[in-house]
Amino acid sequence: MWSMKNKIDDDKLDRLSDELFRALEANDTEINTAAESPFLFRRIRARIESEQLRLSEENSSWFTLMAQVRQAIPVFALLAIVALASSLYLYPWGNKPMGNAGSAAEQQTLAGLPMFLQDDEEAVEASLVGLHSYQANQPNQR
Amino acid sequence: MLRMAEYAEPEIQMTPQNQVRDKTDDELVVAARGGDELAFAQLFKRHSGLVSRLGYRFFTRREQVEEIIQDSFVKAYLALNSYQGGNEKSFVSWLARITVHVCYDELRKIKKRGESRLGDLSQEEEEFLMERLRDVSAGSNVEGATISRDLSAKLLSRLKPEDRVVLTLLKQEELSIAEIAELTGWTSAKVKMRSHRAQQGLRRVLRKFV
Repeated sequence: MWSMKNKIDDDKLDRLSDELFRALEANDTEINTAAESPFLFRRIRARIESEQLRLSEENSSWFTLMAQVRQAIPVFALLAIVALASSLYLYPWGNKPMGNAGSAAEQQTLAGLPMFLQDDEEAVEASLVGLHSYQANQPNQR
Repeated sequence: MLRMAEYAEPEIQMTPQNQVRDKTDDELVVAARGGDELAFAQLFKRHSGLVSRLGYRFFTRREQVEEIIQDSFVKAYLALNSYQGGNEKSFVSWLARITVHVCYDELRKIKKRGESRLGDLSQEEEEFLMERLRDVSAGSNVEGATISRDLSAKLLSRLKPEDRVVLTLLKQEELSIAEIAELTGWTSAKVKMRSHRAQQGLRRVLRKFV
């Protein structure tokens, strides 16, 4: 009973919605008046020109940026070459760098350290040997 | 009711010196691409009626429809290079597709701007609508008691833009699901589902007055 009433309601509402769409229809005079509105095409032309101008400006700004980047490439390359040449001049291949004292001090410090802290593999080996010998000596000490 | 395929009117009122009398849409597009303004003007003259008719399906005010015509032709001009062509009605369908998208975008903008407040009905309109619903249920067709375009626009503005597009194309243009899918660029399944939901949405809007 309820579904029957609902169906009737739906039909009624659908008929009304059809009426709504029919009411929206414009007549030919209105359609033609809008389509043949004076200066409409001129306004379209103006809009097209402004759109094209905007698009070309967008493109040109990108091109300007790319051109600037292209111009900057040789300058950066020259700077890199100068930096390389100056570093080669100041620190030739045969000479030790100025930080010798620092590295000597480092070497000294390393020499002062026990062997197992200098070489990992040897340290592990030594500690294993030490452990075995310690375990072997344990009963004797008791 | 005029179908979209009937919008293309072949007769052209041009002077002989324009030499575009017998040119097809595709030929005019090629000329317009090459910068021939006259060819584009000819395309506008030939098809502005189609765009205007489609615009009036969604909007009631002349200024709105003129705006739709402008937007559609500007977009069409800027996208001329993407036009494929091929058969007699290609340009009409292509332009109709652009117009439907322009209308859809405009409906979305209106919805976003919150102009749905304009959809509020006056006391008088509500009474009229209830009266109309009673008439419909009684099966009578009272002479002169037609729904005004304003009231209709107000009620339909309550629908979602997608629903509005689908229902308009379905009920006013009497297009099939496949045709709507082609025109909107949506899948047939989406159009089918959307039309079902749109119908339910419209019933919901109208049920408030029952």
